[in-house]
Amino acid sequence: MNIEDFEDGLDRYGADLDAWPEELSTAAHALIASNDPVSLRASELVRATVGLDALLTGASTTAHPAPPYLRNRILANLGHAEEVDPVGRLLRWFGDSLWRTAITALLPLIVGFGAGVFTEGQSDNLAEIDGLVYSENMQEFNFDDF
Amino acid sequence: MLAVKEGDRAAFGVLVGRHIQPLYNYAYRLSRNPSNAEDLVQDTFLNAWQKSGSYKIGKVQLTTWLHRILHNKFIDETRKQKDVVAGDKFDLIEDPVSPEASHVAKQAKLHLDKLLRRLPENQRAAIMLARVQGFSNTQTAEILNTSVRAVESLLSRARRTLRHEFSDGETTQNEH
Repeated sequence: MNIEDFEDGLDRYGADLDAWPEELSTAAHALIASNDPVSLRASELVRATVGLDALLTGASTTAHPAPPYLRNRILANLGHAEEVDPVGRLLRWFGDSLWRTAITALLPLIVGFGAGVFTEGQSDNLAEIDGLVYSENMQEFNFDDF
Repeated sequence: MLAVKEGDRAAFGVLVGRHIQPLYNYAYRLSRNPSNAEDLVQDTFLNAWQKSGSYKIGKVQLTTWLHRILHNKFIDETRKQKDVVAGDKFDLIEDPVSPEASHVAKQAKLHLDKLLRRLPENQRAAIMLARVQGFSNTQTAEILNTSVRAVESLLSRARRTLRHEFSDGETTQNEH
């Protein structure tokens, strides 16, 4: 393993050489143990990686705290968020409850059924009107029936 | 989250309290500006409130979903801005409401900020999510809307850049 491969391994797998894939781990340990200028450079790279990882993962000491007023500001703007999204509100109203969705889906069926029941009584009159319209001789009909 | 989907504002308030800190931390280091970070976080939570009906419980973790919203908002904002201000134009700003208990912690925070500013935006986002915010590479890929392989590549390049900067910083310190 050369120093470029070692550095690539540090970037991919981190500073813990034991966590590298087995073959690479063996080669990395051998490089460190070789006690020559290359191994010195490798050790420096490991030290830098360890320091960097400590900095990155020390979130509790390096986190930027959210301003205390931010939460209240967010909650105060919830009403405005709903006003600018009426479609979202409507979808949420329908989607939130199964029975609302079911009734909405059944509405066309209910309306169609109702329309069918309403127009049923008029069929006799329609038949008579058809007869009037298509008859060849007006005298065939007794207009007293209308 | 079930209560939030029903429109329960009190439950949403609890959710905000629980997630505001990690989101703000991510937003701050993405945008490198506390005012922009506040707006990003606010827009994220308001968007989450509007779209809570579309969130599928169990399909994706809530924190992953929130970070994704924030990241997408950040991308939208940077696209709108014609003059994207480079990180170097911002001075490192100390938190206005952050009485640091330790000088060491303060210095560590500034050091990390300085290092992260060196990175291109996509590498900065990847390293923040995967190493600072604690997401897995798979979750990071989901937030960034890319593949796990792409995330691993971003992380590899980011770590190399940061390590060189970190080493240079240490060398400079030792020389003084």
